[in-house]
Amino acid sequence: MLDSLHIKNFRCFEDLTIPSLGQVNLIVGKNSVGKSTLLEAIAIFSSAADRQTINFFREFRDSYSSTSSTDDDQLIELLPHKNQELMLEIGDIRKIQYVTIMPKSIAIEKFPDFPVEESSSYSRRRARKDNKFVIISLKNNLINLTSIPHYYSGTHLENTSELERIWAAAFKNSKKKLVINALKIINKSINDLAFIPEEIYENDFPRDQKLIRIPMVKLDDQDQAVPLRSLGEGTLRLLQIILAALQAENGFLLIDEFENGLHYSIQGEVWEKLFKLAKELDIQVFATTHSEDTVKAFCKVSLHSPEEGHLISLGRSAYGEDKGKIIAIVHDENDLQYILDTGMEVR
Amino acid sequence: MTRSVLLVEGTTDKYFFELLLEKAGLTHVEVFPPKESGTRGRGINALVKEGIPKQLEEIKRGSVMKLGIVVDADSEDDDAGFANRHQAISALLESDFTLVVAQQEVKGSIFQRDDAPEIRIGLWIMPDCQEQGMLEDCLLPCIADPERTELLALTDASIHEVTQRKIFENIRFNEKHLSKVRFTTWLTWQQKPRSCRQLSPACALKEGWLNPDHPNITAITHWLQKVFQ
Repeated sequence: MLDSLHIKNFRCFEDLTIPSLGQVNLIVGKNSVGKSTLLEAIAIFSSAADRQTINFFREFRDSYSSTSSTDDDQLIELLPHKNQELMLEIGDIRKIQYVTIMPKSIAIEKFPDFPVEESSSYSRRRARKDNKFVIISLKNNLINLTSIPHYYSGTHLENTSELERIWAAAFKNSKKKLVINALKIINKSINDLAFIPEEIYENDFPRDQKLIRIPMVKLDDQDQAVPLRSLGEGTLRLLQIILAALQAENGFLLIDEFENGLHYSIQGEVWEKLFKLAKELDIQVFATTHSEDTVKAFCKVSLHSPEEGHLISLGRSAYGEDKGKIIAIVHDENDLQYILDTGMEVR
Repeated sequence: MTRSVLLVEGTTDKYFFELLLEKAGLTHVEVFPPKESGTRGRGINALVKEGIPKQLEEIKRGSVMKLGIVVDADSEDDDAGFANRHQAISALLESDFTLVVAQQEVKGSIFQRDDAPEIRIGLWIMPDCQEQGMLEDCLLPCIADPERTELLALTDASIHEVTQRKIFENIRFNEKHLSKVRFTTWLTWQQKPRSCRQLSPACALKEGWLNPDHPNITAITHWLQKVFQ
């Protein structure tokens, strides 16, 4: 778990400090203040600067050009203004564990066993011979190669094959009951879930017949299983969030635009579930939202366990020495009560 | 989009100011009373402790750009009065903002800063940014037509009689609240119009019982325009 966050020179963040974090954190703010980028930063931190994770987020961006760009170029892409001093840092404010970019020469000098050759056993993190810079994770001033699990749940619904993959993982880990119980938020009579092939015909030609497997549920009072989707769009999103939480056990769950597909009337219950799961599975949750309903539902649930829930608003400093820079405000328990009492908006 | 926020001491003020803002074409302004208003001194305390600091944070992070604050310079507390109220609220603003010298044509204070001139914070202290008092002190002189003025004379006479009787001394209102008692008594003697949920300053203004062109009201409108336009 991160008790605080400091991000320096990472994409839109020049120097962002969040002095305290909770177990469940909701990030609000206008567009272009870096809500999703904050999730990306945490993913890179938790993966110990794994190249696969960096590339995963690169592919979301317009800046993603081709795989032919050099490793150095890819690292420079992470900085707020290209060619700025290479001082990226993502970690806690006490610098116990953080990710940073440094010149390869310094890394090799400082850490004699730093992997450089192609043959290195650290296959995903090795620096190639022609690299000038490397991105590394440090823990207590030593190179850290241990990643922490994280799962990123994007703004759109995952395709059903990804859902099935993470459902299978939950099934193997005997977490099926937990998932079914969570789905009862939407319909109390749901008692089983399975991914069942559904015949889809494209262009009406039998040879284009494709089989996809869709999530179907059994209800207490019905013999036939029904598609989960038929109980409302929110069911699929809820399933996605719960399965994502299981994937993030002992790590970070990152949910971009929490409210997508979730009707406001059930958001309180979903937050309650997430607070509970976060505790049970030792997960730190970071979610973003645009929705005032989501903020209100979060505040209500969070007030029952204020040390666990943190509402964090991002914005651009309107004046002073840091004018234009992205800053964060952490709202305390009193703030949450005030927001609920007055209806003050914090988007 | 950046927001414009007006903080007031209670819900009565909220409805009154929402109407004034509407009349001035400033419908984008959100009006917030603190939750705990109504109890003695709670409105202003909640504003100073919570409402204003929260909105200042929102200004800093670029979410709110215009902020108006309306408080009473009433005489309920020992520290009341125009100068004390002005000082208490200025103290919250002055670390980041400077009081722009009050301009001749507009009553009320405006705070700004050089590196972000688009940010404006206005402070209005009831009734007129000079005297001790509250919203009702501002509104009593605005009562418009002759019949309703005569009704005020009658309520005043009754109130006066109550203050003269010794037997009521320990149960009647405190004279510090005289203008509130005068205004609310006068209000309750009106026939409640269907369009008003309850008899209130907002209702009185809406129904034309108060003269919207009275200098007491136009001075506030001008200040609102200066802050929010």
